[in-house]
Amino acid sequence: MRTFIYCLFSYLTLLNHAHAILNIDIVGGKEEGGHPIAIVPFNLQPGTQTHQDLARIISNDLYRSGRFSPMPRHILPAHPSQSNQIRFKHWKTAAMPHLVIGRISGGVVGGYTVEFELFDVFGSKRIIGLRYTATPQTLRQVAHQISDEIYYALTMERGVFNTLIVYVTLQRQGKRTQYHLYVADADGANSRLMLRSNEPILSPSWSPDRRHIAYVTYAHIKRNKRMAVYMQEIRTGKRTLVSAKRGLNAAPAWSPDGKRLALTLSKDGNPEIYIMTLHNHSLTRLTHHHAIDTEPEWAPDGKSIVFTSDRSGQPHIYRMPVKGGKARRLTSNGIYNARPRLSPDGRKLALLHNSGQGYRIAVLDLENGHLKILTKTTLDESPSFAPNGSMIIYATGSELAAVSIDGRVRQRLSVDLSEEVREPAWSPFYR
Amino acid sequence: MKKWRNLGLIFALITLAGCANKAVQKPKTVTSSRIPPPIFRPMPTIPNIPKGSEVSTGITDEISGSMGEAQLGDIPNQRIVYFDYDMSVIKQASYTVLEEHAAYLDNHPDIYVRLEGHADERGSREYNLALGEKRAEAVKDSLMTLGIFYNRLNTLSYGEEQPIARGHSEKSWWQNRRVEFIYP
Repeated sequence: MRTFIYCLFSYLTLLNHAHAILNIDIVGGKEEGGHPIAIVPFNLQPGTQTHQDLARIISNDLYRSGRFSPMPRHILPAHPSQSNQIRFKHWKTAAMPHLVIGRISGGVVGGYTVEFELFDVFGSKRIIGLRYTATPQTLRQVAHQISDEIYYALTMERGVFNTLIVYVTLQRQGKRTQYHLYVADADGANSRLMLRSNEPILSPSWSPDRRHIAYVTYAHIKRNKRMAVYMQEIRTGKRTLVSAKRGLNAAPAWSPDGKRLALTLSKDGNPEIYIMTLHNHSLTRLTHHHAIDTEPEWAPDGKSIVFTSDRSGQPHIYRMPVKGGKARRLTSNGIYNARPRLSPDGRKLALLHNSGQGYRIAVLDLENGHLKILTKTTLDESPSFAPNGSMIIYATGSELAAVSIDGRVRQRLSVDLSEEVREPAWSPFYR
Repeated sequence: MKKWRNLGLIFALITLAGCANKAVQKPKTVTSSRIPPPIFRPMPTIPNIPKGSEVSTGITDEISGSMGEAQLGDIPNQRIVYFDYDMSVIKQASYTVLEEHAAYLDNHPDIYVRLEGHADERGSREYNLALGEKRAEAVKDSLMTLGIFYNRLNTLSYGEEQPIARGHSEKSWWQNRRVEFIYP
């Protein structure tokens, strides 16, 4: 009987991992000098058992940022877990300027205590040391928080290791296709199914408080099949219909204060951008042009909206004040510029760009007008900024990928072969 | 041996259960199902080649006959209108098809039609949703000009989500830049 239960338990644990479908590989840039760092496996107090390898999670986090080269575990010269066990000369010899050690105590029943310390090897001194409490469910999150602390201490930038992503997958089964909407940790773990549908799911968009996702799908409304915008609370799964008028109901985008949603409707005869006040669903029309106006995106100060319009004959990006007024064109190069996303500081614009070599992700510097093409693939789409502005996640072919804002580091996020992945969106920071 | 077979059965059941909703707090999932595809879906014809002698016999019969219950054979053969890249302008080659459907709708005043707009895969998904909608609306406008009441014409865009051809070249793309007439 005991063997039976043990087998069952380990099988269930394996199942958990079987659903973490995203695997992240770095495909470029790692040779060009990631900062070396040694991360020693955390010491488990006798009697403590966990199924998470925290040092491994931290090491993978830092590696994936493209800015660190963690020392391979099998050549670590020593495994200290207390500061008095450290012999700095070992680490100096190994050319490791920084060292991370840690300890875990406690258990499943009473909870865990996790401690880590970051050392400056050549200065022989501690930079930071912190203690956390955790449950088995929050251990991974603690590891990501530790990665954030180390990242900040060494780069002065806020890390994005404790953030989330949302994405859509498509599975073909003969003539049928099935769509899934998932939320997962930014490292691909813990994917949670939010919606399953035989109809397409598009344009997932995070609320600023990270509690809701708005998206587009198709539904039967008043005995008619219609495109519809929904919002869904992640924790409870509760869904609210936002808009299902005749024609287009698409491209939902939350205002920075979370109280309004910009969206594209064609109820007045043509795709235009409207702003909906969420508490009473009242609508204000923003654009008034017979061309396609869509893909609204709020500026971080909430005062203007950038969007895609083909009013000039080809799709370009424009900016308009939220209270109405003239639309100012932002893009000039190329024959196709669409799907704008502003960086968190509002100074850069990621977009889909084509100037004859295919559809690529590019970044426009709004201050000097310089456009930089970041990808070499030709059927890219859906760029989304990390909340610290350092990376852009996007879809390419039927996979997700990420690229650093300077174009140096590229990652491929690979999935189950049976599923196509698209429409990623990176969450805001946890508030 | 029996113990292992039972174990195997239990593992299979657990795996099947695991393949359903796997979220910790079990968010409600909503499944919606597709409306069944139209009963007759013709092969796409090459645009710009003038329609040959394939006039739908149903339409000819209807002109002399009375307005009755819609029969499947009455619906015009050609149910797809095609478009150029990034355009929603109705091409001259489509005029005949539009007239046929206007005539059919005229003879069956109870019938509503859903005009489903599509785009090829290039570019942004959301922009293509809008492009598909503009194409559907262009067809709707033409049918209204031909006398059909707006209330009977519904538009729905699928953007690039439902291609007919899945290749990555113009050989496939032109087939996807379309509006389809979907009858109940």
